[in-house]
Amino acid sequence: MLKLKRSYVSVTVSLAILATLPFWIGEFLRDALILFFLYLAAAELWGFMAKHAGMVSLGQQIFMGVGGYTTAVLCMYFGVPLFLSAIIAGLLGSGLAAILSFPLLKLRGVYFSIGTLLAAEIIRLAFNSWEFVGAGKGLTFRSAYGISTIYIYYSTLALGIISIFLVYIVYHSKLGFGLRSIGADEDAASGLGVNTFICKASCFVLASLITTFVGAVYAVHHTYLHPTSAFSLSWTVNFLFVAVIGGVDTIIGSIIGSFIFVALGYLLSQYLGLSLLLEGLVVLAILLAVPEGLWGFISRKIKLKPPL
Amino acid sequence: MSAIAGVLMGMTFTFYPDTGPIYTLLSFGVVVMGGLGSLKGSLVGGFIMGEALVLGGYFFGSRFQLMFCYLIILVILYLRPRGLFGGKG
Repeated sequence: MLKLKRSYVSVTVSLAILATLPFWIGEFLRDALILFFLYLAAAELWGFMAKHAGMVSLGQQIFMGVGGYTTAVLCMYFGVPLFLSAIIAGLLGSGLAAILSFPLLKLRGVYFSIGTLLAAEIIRLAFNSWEFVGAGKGLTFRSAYGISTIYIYYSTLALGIISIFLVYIVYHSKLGFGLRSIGADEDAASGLGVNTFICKASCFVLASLITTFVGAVYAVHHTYLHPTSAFSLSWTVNFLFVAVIGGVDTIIGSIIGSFIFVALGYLLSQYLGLSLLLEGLVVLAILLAVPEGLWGFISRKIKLKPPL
Repeated sequence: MSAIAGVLMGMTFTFYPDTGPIYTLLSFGVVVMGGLGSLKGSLVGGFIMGEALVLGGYFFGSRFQLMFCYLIILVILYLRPRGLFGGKG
């Protein structure tokens, strides 16, 4: 009981610190924290989908791009308020995920990964030649110029917290049990009466919803969209890095992973041209040293049962 | 093998350092379309891919060439989730 009370207190205190943080840290740290929460939100769900449901999606960049482009187009061309257009973007992204899940969820394992990657490439090429959204020239998000980073910080904080709760709730729900049985053996799960398509589709749609919001917030923060960068495979690879560094199977793993990934990105940014190479080497070293991820290693050392 | 293919490619088409990922994706597509681990599948997949690239470029222009090719792979994967020669899905 006391232990439970203590954990409530620590969560409340850390939330309070995070909520007041933008007022007493500088612009630079605020920027870093925005990136931290964005990667955290997307990687949390990517890791859940990959680890527990066995769906290694290489196409999450579809939703990054769609979220950004929808928000920008609605806000600039149709005069919809920014917040509302981000919400509509989320609905559109999850709708797209629901449509895509019909052809893609028939595939399993490597076939699913390649299928999502191909779908992402098709959508990237479509945006690359669609004149309405600027085609290959890209789209400058002028309406987002005046947005203070404080608002962006709070929306990313909310996204991060929502994704953590979402993973926690889904993991302990009926859907989570279904997904874990699918991840273990899909045929056996289907034989036991789990509706595999509905389970996998709802997991995919939830992950895509959060990723779409992340894309929308990132577009507001970045104010520029280009098909090659918005639909770049490097988004999914970054989520994968974040999820894998910390350990895919826990909530805390992604938090640690996101922190390390963003810190590494800023630390290595002074070595222009070599930064990606060094980043890859560091991540590779971490993975070779602790294959179960940093949090998996730590929790084994201090004999703590992982919270998830 | 990829290196040999690369040399042959370099003799036929122009190339630059960024060319890599497209061909990686295309060859992944070929293998997956035919069915993983099936030699016959890769052969047939490569044939279909080549035809799709050339015909797509001819009918839809170079802009939609790759898109058409990827769409073909996705449609084939939708119809045969384990690839053409990969057994039943």
